[in-house]
Amino acid sequence: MTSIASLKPDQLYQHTDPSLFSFETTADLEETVQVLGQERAIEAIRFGIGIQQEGYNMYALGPHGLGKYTAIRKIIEGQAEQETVPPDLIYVHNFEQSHKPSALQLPAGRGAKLRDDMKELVEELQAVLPAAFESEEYHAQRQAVEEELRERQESAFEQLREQAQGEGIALVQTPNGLAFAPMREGEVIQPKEFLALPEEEQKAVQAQIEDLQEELQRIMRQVPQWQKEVRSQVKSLQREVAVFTVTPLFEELREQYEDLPEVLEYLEAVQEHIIENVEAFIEQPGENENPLMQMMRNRQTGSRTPSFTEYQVNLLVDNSELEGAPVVYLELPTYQNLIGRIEHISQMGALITNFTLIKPGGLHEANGGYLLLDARKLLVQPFAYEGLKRALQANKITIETLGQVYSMVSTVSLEPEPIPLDIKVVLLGERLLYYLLYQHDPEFGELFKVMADFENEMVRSEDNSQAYARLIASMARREELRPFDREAVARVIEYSARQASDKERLTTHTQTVADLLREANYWARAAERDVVMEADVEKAVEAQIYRSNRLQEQMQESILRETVLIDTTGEVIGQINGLAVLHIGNYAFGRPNRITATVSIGRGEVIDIERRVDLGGPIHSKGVLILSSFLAARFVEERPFSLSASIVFEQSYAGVEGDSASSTELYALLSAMAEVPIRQGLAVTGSVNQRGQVQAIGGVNQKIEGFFDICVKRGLTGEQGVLIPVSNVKNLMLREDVRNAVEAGEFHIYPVAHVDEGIEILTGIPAGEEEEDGQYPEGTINARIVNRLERLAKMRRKFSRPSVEAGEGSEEDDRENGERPAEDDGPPDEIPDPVPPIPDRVPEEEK
Amino acid sequence: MAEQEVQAEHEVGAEQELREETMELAIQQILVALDNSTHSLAALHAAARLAATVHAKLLGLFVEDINLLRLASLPFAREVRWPTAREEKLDREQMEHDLRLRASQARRALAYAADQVEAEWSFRVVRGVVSKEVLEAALEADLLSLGRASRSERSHVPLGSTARAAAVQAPRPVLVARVGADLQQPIAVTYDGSPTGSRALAAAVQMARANESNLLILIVARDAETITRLAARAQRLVQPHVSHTEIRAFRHDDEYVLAQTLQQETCGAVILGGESQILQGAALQTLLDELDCPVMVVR
Repeated sequence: MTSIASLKPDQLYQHTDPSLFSFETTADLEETVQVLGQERAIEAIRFGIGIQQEGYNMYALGPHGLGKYTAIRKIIEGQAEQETVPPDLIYVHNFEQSHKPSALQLPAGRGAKLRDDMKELVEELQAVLPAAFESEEYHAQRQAVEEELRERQESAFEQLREQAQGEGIALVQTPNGLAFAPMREGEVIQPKEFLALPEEEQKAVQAQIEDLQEELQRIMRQVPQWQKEVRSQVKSLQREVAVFTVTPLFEELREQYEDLPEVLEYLEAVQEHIIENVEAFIEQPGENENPLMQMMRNRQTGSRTPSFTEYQVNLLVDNSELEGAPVVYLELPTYQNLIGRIEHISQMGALITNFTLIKPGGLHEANGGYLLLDARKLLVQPFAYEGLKRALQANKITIETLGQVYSMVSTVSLEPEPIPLDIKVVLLGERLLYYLLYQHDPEFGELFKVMADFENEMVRSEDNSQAYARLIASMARREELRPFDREAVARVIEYSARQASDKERLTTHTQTVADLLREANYWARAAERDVVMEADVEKAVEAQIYRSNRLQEQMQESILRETVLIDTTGEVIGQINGLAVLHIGNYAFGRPNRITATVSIGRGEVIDIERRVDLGGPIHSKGVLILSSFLAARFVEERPFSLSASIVFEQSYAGVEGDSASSTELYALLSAMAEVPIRQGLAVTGSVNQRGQVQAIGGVNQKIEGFFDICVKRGLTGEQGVLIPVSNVKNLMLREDVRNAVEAGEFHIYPVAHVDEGIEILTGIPAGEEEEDGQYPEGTINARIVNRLERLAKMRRKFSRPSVEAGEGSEEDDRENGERPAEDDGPPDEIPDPVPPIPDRVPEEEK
Repeated sequence: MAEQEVQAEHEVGAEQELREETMELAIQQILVALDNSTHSLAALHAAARLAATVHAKLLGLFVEDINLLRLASLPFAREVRWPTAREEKLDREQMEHDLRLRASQARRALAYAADQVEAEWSFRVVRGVVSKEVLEAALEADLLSLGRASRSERSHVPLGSTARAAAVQAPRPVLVARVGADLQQPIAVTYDGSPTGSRALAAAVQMARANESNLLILIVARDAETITRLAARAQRLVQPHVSHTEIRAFRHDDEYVLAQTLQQETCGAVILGGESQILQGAALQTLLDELDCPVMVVR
């Protein structure tokens, strides 16, 4: 039997001793722990928060479920509480350029106050101004002005009428104007009568009438000027009344905002605008006009809307409720949700907008504080990442519609005044995204200088186990779960180690742990227990597996029914059980896979059939090349490699990737070459290097369990087991039933450091160490291989001789000339043909 | 005492001219003088509403101003046009055409207004001096309705010569309308207990009913006792016919004060009736000049 000892049961699992914990249940643990084992990331976040220079935004790297958000939020909130509350942000009408609304910043809470004050002011003005203009005094003054015009006009016409009358001429109103006519007895003279007058008299009358007409024209031409004067006087009167009425209201407001010069300036502009447009307050909408007509008129003239919109305050950000700097997580980081947007309303079929329809984005809400974004969500939203970068680079938020940005829409819209941006942005995302962004976007590195790299695992020390217990207690409390007793906590920690696939590590993937806690709580409730016990945790783990392992069972069944051929007893040359891990969703399981190798006379090729049919991935191919190199280094250095070998994963219809089967493939090859059978009760995993050392692989637990399950179902013989790389022993966190079988001597796990050890276990024959003369001890695997190779070389030479005799053009000749044969277009996994040394040695031996 | 009895008999006599139980003046035909100005269209509108209430016929009258035709026949005739002050030559043919056109417009306006209230109507065109023709035609009707002036301005315009002549000289009640007035506003009427005053009261009741407006009765008398008596009487006469009536006293003897009082109290129509001094002659003319609302003078 082999000299390699199989592992002891205690090497297969690392228990957590419940007596390590001083508490009875997690209810006794009051301390809140939200994140564990992330010292590096936390340090980076603290650095990112503390440094005030531009571009020191953060990117938290790590897979989803590590608790990055919780950790970052907690740290940032702790810091934000100590920071000052940023100002409120409002947009107001720009009275000089109405399409460019002005942004004002007011101390927190005063934005809402100004908004309410302005609303109240307008309401008050709506009452006070009409009253002022309805007053008798105003009416009297206005009437006086208008009366003056009327009198002026009437007096001018009356004087002219009287003058004409004095000359016997009447001022007659015609359908279109006025005319002069000579009178007789109160009526216009009959034409006959007029014509009967002496010619001179007629001329005199005509001359008089012409003079009068001239005077009439002069008066009529003056009328528009008089009207203008009156309008101007009425306007001044209105202004006077408006100033008198409005000023006290504004004075009161100014006193309240005297510490804010920008607001005072705004109030000044409002006051002036109200005074200039006081008619809007006097002529209330709907008074003489239906609203539709008024809307039409407003649109045509571009004048005010009846709601006095331009005096409103659009409170974009109200920080009155904040206690410290804002911390905002944007659930859906679209461009608009980030940068803000300008909404439109439909009016008579047209889309219109104004400054009150400006809506804030996450950048506005988090300005002066912290904005947390999911990197993937940000990147999948069109233009959102670009918009964020633009804002961070410019240090200001400019609200532009995408149509404006990309010049797709040229209709008139608003250009709100940009707002200064003072913010720390934290992106949370996978590592791959970080590296891709860093690689392909030169601006990314400038804007996100702080990398907070979250660990996937932490060391399973005693202290950390204690801390893990506190984390479990905190989670249970936060999720309002039943308390966990110490045995249950220990089991959860063991589960965590299994998740980390390392008995010396614990997973930091808190989401997985939290799921287990919730599910264990469910089973405790189902069992009507007030405390979650180890059995509940165990049940939760089993139930998780049961929910996920339909496919695994199907595969096992197909092996047991011998649809998929796997031997678990007996010995076969060139056939071995490899082990593969399949990941389906978040569930992984192992299954055996038969690998076979065949050997025939040839030119030193090792044919990887998977590769030939494009079912092998690059890493798998690399593994095959490595094992080929190992063979070449060991056996071909001083003798020809006159065989052709092929390796295949039997009944594999999907691709094969990874190099964890390279040692397995090597064993199959060695067995085939040495013509020594392999024990089929064993399965093998592990990659191999050119020196034959067996190297660590992933999923060792699942692989062992996958083979164990098949063996159990067929019945354990005591001869079965798995060969694993010795470097994977630390990763073992095997199921209890496997451990029990090992303890009972029914199943074995062999740690293997070198293929020579492995082949000995598999065949029961030592590999054989090379002796000083380059030969291997008789009967060993290596010796058998050497003998086989030499036999094959002789046969090959024998077969190739006639072609040498035939003369030119033979394959051998071509090779001696250093050229490859024309048909040799095989894959690069061939061992370099060591033909050149062959003539030196083999002929001698033959001699 | 004797004076009071005479007065009482006088009042009883006056009432007999009315249909006392319905407070209706016998208005069967309303003459509307039309010249297509906005004021005359307002007169047409007011007349149509009244006609609908009292089931009267509307008689439209358009006068082709003989003075205009004569003017247009003069060899040098020219007009200065509003508002451009452009001078245009006049000729008779064109003037006649213009007048015919305007008459036709007036006819259409009358037809439309009458149709709206389903009133009977007739229309005629006469040629002559406008005021004279209107006064003559008024004799055929029970009420004359005409615009304040032929100038179509919304602001206060002086009373035109035809309206002035009609209001002062017409032997029938005359409604001088103006554009922009809201006849649904309270209607004010002066009442001094005279037969004319009673007819004015009846006319006011009819106007109020036609326009569904409230009624304000201004008792014109000098002593409190008469005021009380007349107020009670007015109340008794009017109450069954108008839902909301208000009665005020007016003790002055000044047409300006009366005009001011009426102007302050109502924006609707004013019905002037009675034999008080302030409603006669020059005082009446002043009152008509001062009042910037539709005025009905009842005789």
